[in-house]
Amino acid sequence: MASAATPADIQQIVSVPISAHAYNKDRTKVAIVPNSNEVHIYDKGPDGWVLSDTLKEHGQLVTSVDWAPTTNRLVTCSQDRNAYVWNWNATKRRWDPDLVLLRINRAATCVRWSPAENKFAVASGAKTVSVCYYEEENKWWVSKHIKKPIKSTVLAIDWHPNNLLLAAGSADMTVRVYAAYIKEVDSKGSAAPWAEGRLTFAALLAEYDTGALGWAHSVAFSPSGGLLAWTSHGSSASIADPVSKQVETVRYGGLPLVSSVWLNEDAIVAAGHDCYPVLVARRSGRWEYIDKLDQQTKRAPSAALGSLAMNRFRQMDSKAQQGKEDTDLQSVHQNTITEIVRLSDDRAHVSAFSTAGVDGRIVRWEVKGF
Amino acid sequence: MSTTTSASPNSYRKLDVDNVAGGGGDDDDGGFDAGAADAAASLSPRELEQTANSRLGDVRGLITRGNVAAAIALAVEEPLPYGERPDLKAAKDLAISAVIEPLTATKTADIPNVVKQLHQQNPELLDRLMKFVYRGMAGSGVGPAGVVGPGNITGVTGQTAAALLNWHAAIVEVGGVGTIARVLTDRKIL
Repeated sequence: MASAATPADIQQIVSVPISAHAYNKDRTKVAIVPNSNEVHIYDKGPDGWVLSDTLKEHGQLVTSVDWAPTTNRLVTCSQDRNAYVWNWNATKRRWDPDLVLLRINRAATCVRWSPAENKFAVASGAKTVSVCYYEEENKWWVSKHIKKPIKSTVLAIDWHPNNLLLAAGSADMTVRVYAAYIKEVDSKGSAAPWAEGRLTFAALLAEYDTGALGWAHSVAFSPSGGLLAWTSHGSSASIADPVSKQVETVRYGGLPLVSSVWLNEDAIVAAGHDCYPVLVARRSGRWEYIDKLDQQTKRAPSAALGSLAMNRFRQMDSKAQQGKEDTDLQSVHQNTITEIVRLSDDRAHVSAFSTAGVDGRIVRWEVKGF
Repeated sequence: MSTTTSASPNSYRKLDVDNVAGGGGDDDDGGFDAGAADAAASLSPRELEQTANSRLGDVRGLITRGNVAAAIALAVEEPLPYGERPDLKAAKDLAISAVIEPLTATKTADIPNVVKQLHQQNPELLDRLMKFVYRGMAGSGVGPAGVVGPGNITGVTGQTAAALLNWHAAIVEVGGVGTIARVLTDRKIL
């Protein structure tokens, strides 16, 4: 089967690790977190990405960022225990922050808009998930907590496409599915097959023990919402089916996978400490590891940044090396991939995704043949 | 007693963040014990010891018949006496011996084939075997004071450690470094 992913665009955006990144709807802007308390927004120009805005409001490391495509709002969360919603102010031509009342006493770890963009969820070290929505009367973002029975930091969250369910992967070696239905903003809908009947907020609908495989780094619902996948620190990807109650685990031979996205109902791309994305897919009914998607056989092209002397200086700076020893990896990313995001609006037929890494690069991958 | 004005650069480590953040540590609904292992909780230490004992006999039988792969597959089967409870020590020593004996009885040249065979049978077997390889190299951990390395588990000597290193290499060859990562994250420790 001729399936492949090609690194279509390699951008050395910064020389520091990228903790998180998110694109706007038409992918002409990208927000990145350069491992600091700031969020940088880059505009796509003819010669690559150009810094256009810097969002400074957080006091500590920003851990996660998400961009709502339709309403064009950003949400960021940080180790300073705050989250901000950023709205574009067209008259003043700047992003205006709106503080969110998270009511947590530990760092926020991950934030995601719901598919309908009327609410978002923030995972945190306070053993809670805060589900936040806008209260029109008071004109502020308020949150409701999902607490039970989480026993440790929540590291990853993902929304079900129906806007009503939320998956949370936690450091207590458990992945859980909750109802995140908020009667103030949501209309009723079906949550089959995860739940039957009326949904109540924070109801625990499914619970999966990752067992020997460690804490979950990422969780993701399939395009239809019928399956839930997670990757955990025990170098594995697991796929749970709520109908058959079966969990299939794919044991990966490499280093842990920290981020994952579904390409379609039968394929997941995941990446992490191995510095290249890998494909996990369902072949004749069984989930298995297929191959790495980065088929570089020679050194990745160094992004052309300045002169030879400049490159040499960068080499000294980033790797403490003076000579010409070839320590470059045979992959596009030269360090851990921190996050994968989907670049297609159609969840069921993803044709492109983007990876960001500790090497300061973001790479757009084009996918075909899946 | 805690002061935040101390000049020590590490003073923040002693800070009670629950009190600083307000709400005074209301999240005491049971923390998470990362070391907890619940496997075989339904079986008593005595039952686990009996299982391990009879299994050791079967494993020895398979070794004499020359079927090392089957012996290893049987030895790493659940239930195993996980956890750090002192009353499990007898069962644990037996369970560890049941794995270490076939590992040391294998000829070095045969190791890669046995590993491949186990991997085909069930990739999870390799993970569990790797756990025992590390456990074997660690020794019993309760040896005489001052003894470093392999302790007083029957048969764990320098020679055994050499065999275990061969197994380690063969397992990584087939299962990748992922097998090591999974040993590190596994809470069901022996």
